[in-house]
Amino acid sequence: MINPQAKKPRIYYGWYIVATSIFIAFVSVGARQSFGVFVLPMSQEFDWSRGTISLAASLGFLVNGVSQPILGGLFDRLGGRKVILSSLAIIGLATILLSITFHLLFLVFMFGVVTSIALSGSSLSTTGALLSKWFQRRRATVIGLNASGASLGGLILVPFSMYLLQATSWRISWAVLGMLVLVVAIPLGLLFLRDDPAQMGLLPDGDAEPINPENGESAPPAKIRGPLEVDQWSQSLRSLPIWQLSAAYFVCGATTSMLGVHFVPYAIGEGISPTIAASVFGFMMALNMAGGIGAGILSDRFSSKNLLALVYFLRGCAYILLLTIPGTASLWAFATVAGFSWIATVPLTTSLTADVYGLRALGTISGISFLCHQLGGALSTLLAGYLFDLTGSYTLPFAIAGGLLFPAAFSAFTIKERKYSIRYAVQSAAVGAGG
Amino acid sequence: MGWPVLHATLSHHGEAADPTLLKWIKDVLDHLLGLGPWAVIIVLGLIIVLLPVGLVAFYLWQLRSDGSRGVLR
Repeated sequence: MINPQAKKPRIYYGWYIVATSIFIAFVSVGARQSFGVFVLPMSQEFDWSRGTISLAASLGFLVNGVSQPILGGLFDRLGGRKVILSSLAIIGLATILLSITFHLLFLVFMFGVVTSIALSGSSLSTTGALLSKWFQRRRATVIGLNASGASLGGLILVPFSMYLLQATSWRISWAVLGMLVLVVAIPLGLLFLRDDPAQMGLLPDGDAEPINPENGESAPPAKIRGPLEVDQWSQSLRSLPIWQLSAAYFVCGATTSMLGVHFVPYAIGEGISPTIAASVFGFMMALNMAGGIGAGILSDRFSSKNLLALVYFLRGCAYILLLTIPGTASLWAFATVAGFSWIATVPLTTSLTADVYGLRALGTISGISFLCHQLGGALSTLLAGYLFDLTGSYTLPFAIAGGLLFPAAFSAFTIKERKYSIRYAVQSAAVGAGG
Repeated sequence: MGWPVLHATLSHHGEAADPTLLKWIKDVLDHLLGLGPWAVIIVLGLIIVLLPVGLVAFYLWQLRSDGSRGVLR
């Protein structure tokens, strides 16, 4: 029974946390993705080859994955506010320091190590874990919105960096990006980020406190513990869902990174014009955002694991279309089908992890899944390059990627969500209490 | 083919974007927008700043209409 007298703010404070997280994802991911803008001018000034400068990016990719469970552990111990704000401060300072780059090792250390570790503290996994504390019924929706902030960063901040570089210099552009994090994102986070709704006397989703039917007074709702809810992250490794989710996320990383890295050489090899390739990319980014938000909304209404399986299945079909349809039509078909699935895995995986394992060790557990994602990405990128060298074509690597997505879909589909998810435990408790 | 480990923005966890793809995108944007770099910087800069400023303004407006001081102490 809900207390009708309870004073409820018109807008639940959790929505301000969502908006702040979106902006943090927008700035930190956008600044990170802008690295590609700086490759040409920096390599020209220092006479570095592209391969040399990409060392910073490739190292950063792995460091980011390895550091995610560690930063997730700090999140679980210290709370989101401290970890996210400290990480943003380091990202901002390190990005400004990139403007005084004087040696390759400085760039590799600052971008490949420092910002990559700090990015784990403000990543979608970390902010997703924070949002999971503020929302239960709309958990996937808000994590989907949060993920769309990262896509928005790619759509707005990367072009901003391109034109800033054209109008000024790479040194000024790095400094401006860093200042954006320090002067805009951190104050916003300081104002709005809070670890837990309980700190503000609120309940998740902005619910009012239920009334005790015996004395008519409001009382905190009864805590329901899910069957696999853990206090320590290591406990989760003894159950199946974390392995099912991580295995599928490994394939997710493998299939997104492979195409991310090899998209340009593939397009050139297929004779696709740069204008069409860039247009397809923009189209896919727009669908990407819609897919992330849509998957989140649907997941809060339907089975998360079924949607996650559907997303992997669709991406597998997209790879088949890419390989079987001739000409540029294959790229458009791929972008249309895969675009919806590209970022949709993030809200579905994070919210399902939270629903199954609870919130106490969510930062670390999400970090472990993310590590698998990055490992998949690194391995697939190397494998695709190797197979291209061997066969002179992307057919085999893309066929392997597409083929892996169907077992990933099966892995997600066979998660026993009804048995383990807190969502269904809450529904059962409500039915039990009602009848 | 070597080791092209730079990541396009198609990747979804904040990997660095492919410089060649970015150049193609910029060419398309230049063609579509037909604006000088500073005009684009100002427009995008305004969008970037409007997001947080709008959020704070909305929050303050909500506090005022609710008659509360909220967390902005």
